[in-house]
Amino acid sequence: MFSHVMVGADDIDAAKKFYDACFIALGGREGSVDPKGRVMYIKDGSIFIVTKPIDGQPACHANGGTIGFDVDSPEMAEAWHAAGLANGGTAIEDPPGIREGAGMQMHLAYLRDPAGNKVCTMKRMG
Amino acid sequence: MLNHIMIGSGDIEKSKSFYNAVLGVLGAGEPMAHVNDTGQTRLFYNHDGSTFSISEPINGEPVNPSNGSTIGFKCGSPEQVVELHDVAIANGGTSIEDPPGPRDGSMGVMHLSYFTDPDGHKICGIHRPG
Repeated sequence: MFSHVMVGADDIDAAKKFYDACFIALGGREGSVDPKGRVMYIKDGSIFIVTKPIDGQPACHANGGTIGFDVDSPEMAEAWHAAGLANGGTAIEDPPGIREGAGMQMHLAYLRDPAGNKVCTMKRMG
Repeated sequence: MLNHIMIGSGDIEKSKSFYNAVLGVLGAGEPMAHVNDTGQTRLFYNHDGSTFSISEPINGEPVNPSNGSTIGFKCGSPEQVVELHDVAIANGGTSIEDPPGPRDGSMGVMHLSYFTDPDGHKICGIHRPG
């Protein structure tokens, strides 16, 4: 359903450091910087992009918004979380682990990126 | 790669009516509604292997859209890119950027349309030929 998702950041270098580490933990690669200075990550048929806002105003994260990435296993999620924390991310919500929600068990791990965008990994269990 | 995307809503019924119409263009069905332990209603549109979800913010603060962010929905044809936009505008969305149509991007020609939803989140429809 999703072609791509783009998030805003004022400090693209800090964002690249964070997302490079996170995507490598997911089995992806470092981002490439396009001619407009945006960092692009292409994986499994979809695209994640970090950009400075084109209106020249400061970036701000959404209240109520989260972007969830696929992971193969809880171990991969924990590696993603640790990589993010070591590269400028902030741990939020409960620590990575299994939670019950909407009638199913999910392994979830949550971080804020250096610009404050809320990101998580999700793996449905069982 | 993208398991799900969640956005905040200040009026869940309005969001439902908007996204039922817009995501209906892509063939998505009615969302599953769920009230979480802290009382926020969420809608989950499961379609094509991923989930788009709309939530009342769990911290009780007002919704604010992110500056710099866009969510791009895959469309099956250039016509569907236009239809997605037109249905959005007819259901409370606002047209932004250039009118729907083809543009040259860093990865070749793409068909794009841009709008904001009733909460101000920036959404686009995209079709890459070939």
